[in-house]
Amino acid sequence: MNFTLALAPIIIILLLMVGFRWKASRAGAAGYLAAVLIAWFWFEINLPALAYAHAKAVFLILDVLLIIWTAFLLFRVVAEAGGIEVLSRTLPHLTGDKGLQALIIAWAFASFLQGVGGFGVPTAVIAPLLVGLGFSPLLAVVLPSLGHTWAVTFGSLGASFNAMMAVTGLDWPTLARPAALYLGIVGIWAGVTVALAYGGWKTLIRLWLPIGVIGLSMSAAQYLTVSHGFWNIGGLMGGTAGLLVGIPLAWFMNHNQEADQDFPWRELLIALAGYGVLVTLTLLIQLIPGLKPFLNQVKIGLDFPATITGRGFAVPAGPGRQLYILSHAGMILLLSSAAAYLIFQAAGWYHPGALRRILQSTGQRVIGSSVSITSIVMMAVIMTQAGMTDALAKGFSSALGWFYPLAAPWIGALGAIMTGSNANSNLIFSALQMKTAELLGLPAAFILAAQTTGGAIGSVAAPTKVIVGAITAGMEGREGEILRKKLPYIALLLLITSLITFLAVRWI
Amino acid sequence: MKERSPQRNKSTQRREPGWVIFKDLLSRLRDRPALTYLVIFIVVMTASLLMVPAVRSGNQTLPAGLLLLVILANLLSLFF
Repeated sequence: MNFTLALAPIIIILLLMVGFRWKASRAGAAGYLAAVLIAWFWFEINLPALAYAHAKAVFLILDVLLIIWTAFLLFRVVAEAGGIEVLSRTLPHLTGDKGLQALIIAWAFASFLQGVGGFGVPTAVIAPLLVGLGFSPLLAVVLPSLGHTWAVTFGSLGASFNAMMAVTGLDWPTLARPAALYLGIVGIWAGVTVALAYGGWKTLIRLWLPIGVIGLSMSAAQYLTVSHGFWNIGGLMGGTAGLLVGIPLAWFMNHNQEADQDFPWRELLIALAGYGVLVTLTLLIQLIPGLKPFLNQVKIGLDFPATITGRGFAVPAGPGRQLYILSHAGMILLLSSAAAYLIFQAAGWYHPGALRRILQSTGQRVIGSSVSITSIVMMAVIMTQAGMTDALAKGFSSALGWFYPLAAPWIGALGAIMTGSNANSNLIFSALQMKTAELLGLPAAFILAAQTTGGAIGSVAAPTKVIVGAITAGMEGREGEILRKKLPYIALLLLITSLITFLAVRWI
Repeated sequence: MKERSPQRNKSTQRREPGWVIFKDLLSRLRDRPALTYLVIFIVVMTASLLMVPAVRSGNQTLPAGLLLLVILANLLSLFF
């Protein structure tokens, strides 16, 4: 009974979003209300514990939202100036080989876009571009969806990874390396699935070399970046490495000479300026001795006392999530947005009223998801404070035992498919996955790596993303067709993640 | 045809305006979803944060009232 009731808020969210097609903000509110009622009446949480859970959630929410708000702001600053269009126009100049175009655009460029933007941007930008290059609308949606899966967790300036750190209370040195390792392996396989989906085994065999070289470069770049603490630009650096290696490789393998003279180098450099500022600021804060500790003097947070429920579930006293405002990834993104705006303004790339349009579209786009994230995080923290997450973990560990590592990525994927995002899946399931790993005596970092990798893969099968892809490629009403094409490849990537997790917890 | 009793008519009249006002308010809010989301977000975050000093003050009513406010804001989200 404990297990069933503890699972109820999650089931309610999933059921409402999938069965009744509710938006995440509505379904999240229903999940929150269910969690409060069940925590109060069945798990006997008291008023102070419930109040502290709400306050703890506020800091987690701000931590997550600061990145989401400013990441989207930076993307809008670049998009309003036409920077994304410049990138999209430039890449087809490189090669006439359709298979190579699929790899460079739908894999490397999609990963780059996921690194800087996320929020469904890769498919929305690339699908019309591929249709324009002569790809079928179905492939135009499916290829970038598969290509950017591996860059989701450390993409969107690390929003999903940050969500996992916030909910579990674990820091980046514990979580980043295993997650980057899993995602790196999946990243190479993502290239394989792009080639297979485009042209089957023939294309895969023909393009094995660029797949290997680009895949290894992107995975290595992401791993090295995040394992040195730059987790907020892991996806960006992975995607950039893919472009830096893939573009010369494409020139070398199948040079499109006709387009040579028109290559817009200057425009390309200006378009990328905002992201250059972001990388530079991130590196400066990490590398200049004493700068980060100095900036970290400004922090916001609260200490919380120990609580105990009527059923005897105790949460020890301790600090909640601390927000280091000046060194926060959100602050770096805000400064990068301001710098990028000034650069584009100086280059004369903006039309009158650009700033108003940027702020308006950013506000309208992020406020709905802010409400859904708020209710989902509050639900997750209440469940943890009331002992509901503990009850779920006990149920899963006794039911699955040593086979749990095989199931962990599928749980992450399920959460992402149902809630529409890797970050939401991490917010809902990370605490549960960590607790279950602890009960089974498994290394939590590997199980959480499986959670976020599964979430990243599953997010591209989320109905919301499928619908966005269908609209941008002119395939409205044919969402089922898109999903049918994607599912075998998604299942393959999840099976690979299950296998990696199982081997990792056994032998590493 | 059976005529409605005056008492029943009276009670229907009393109930109807409240429901109509609520529906009207909802439709006005639906016309401005971004603004509504912003208000819900600010109310939920502020009330949740204020729960800590409210509990520490030793008062039972204040945190309960703030909790109710958060619950009501989430109930409002259900209509969007």
